[in-house]
Amino acid sequence: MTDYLVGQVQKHLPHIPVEVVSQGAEALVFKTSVHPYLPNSISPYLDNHDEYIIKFRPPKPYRHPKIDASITKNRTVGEVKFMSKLARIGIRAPSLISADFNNGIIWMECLGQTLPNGEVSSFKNWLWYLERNEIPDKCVSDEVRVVCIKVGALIGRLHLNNMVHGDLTSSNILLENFEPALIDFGLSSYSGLAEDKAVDLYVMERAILSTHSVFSDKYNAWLLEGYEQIHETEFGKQGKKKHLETIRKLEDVRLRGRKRSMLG
Amino acid sequence: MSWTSVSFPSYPQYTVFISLFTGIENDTISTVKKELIAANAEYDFCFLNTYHVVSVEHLYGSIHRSIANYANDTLKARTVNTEIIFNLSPINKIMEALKKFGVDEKCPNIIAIKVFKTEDIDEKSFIDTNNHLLKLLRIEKDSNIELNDKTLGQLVDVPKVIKVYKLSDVKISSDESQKQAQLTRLVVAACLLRGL
Repeated sequence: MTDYLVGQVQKHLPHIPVEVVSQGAEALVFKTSVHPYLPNSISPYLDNHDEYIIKFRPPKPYRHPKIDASITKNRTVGEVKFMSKLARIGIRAPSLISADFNNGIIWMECLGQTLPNGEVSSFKNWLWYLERNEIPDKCVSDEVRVVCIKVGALIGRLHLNNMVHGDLTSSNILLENFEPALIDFGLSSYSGLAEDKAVDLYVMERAILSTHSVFSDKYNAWLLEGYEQIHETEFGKQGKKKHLETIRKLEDVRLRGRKRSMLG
Repeated sequence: MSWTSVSFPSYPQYTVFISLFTGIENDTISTVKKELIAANAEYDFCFLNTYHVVSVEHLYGSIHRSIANYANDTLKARTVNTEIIFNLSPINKIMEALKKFGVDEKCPNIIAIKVFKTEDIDEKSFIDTNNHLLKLLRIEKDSNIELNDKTLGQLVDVPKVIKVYKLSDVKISSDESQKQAQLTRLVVAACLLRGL
């Protein structure tokens, strides 16, 4: 199946070597060494000049072709818009390079480094790496605490701009020199409601609980600490109020789960 | 004399000729404008003023998208030359884009672009094309400077860019070296999202 999908992306991107990085239900993520429009002699204004990411939403054969084309286009546009908004407000996320909306292709910056064990430096991989290779103390060291607080602050800044990520997990946060960046905005939306923000936080809490269960209590507490701090430092009294509202909602969400209605 | 030629990995069948000229007389620009409207074949180039071109990446991004549309036969504008101007713009009106990004009496600097079929050209045709442009724009060879981020950074009008691309609510870095990088990222995204 993946080979077939790779063939499809190659049809839209002739002469571009691609390597599959990850595959989800909706999209495939590739890595390539070729910039779509700048020759090697000219460096793009990005930190990484050697690798670029291509996100491809393949057509779904089970949908009507016309509906499929419109869904693919709308979701690709939505994601690009979200990323461009993040760039405008200065939240660290991959920069846009190019996009082909009709074919569901987005070219973006390749963030993250490689950990000593060869994995990409996502928040998840880094925590796992510490858990497996270092003395246990390191997992809850000050270094980890600082990173968790930074991640919490990043999510707080996102929410303060009335943006909701929709799929916050530790693998959707990349670390670059211990500075977190968000990726994967396929489920992102705009919302100022405390409810939606609380659900966003709840999804993250559950993700941490299942992927980093040994120290999940500490991690979650630090994340929420960072989340609270940014509300107060950036928005003062008003931010404090917003934070309280979201946290109250979070408690409700914890009791009832992610879905508000009992249907579906 | 200095020009650049570029070909994109996905579309090797096309080669694009790009050249930057400075210090052009007002009268000449008026003539160029007139001849472009009259569709004189001698003036079959994409002419841009430099005020709104932030960096090489910005320019190439627009050319790349235009070539892709050209190759896939999905041009929005009538010619590939206009398409390049249109794709450089965040405004979804071709006439507006031509007014903002095309030749303008207020800007004495011009970027000239022409798309060739790769099989039709060699080094000599580039020299001929460049000489032809020097003649059309009535300038000497030393006004034809290299097109790179440094030269574009000197010729760009940042307040105009911020206005056209609606970036007034963005905190723009005051550090000159960071500014071009940040603006490039913002305008590239704005161009992609034109009309959406």
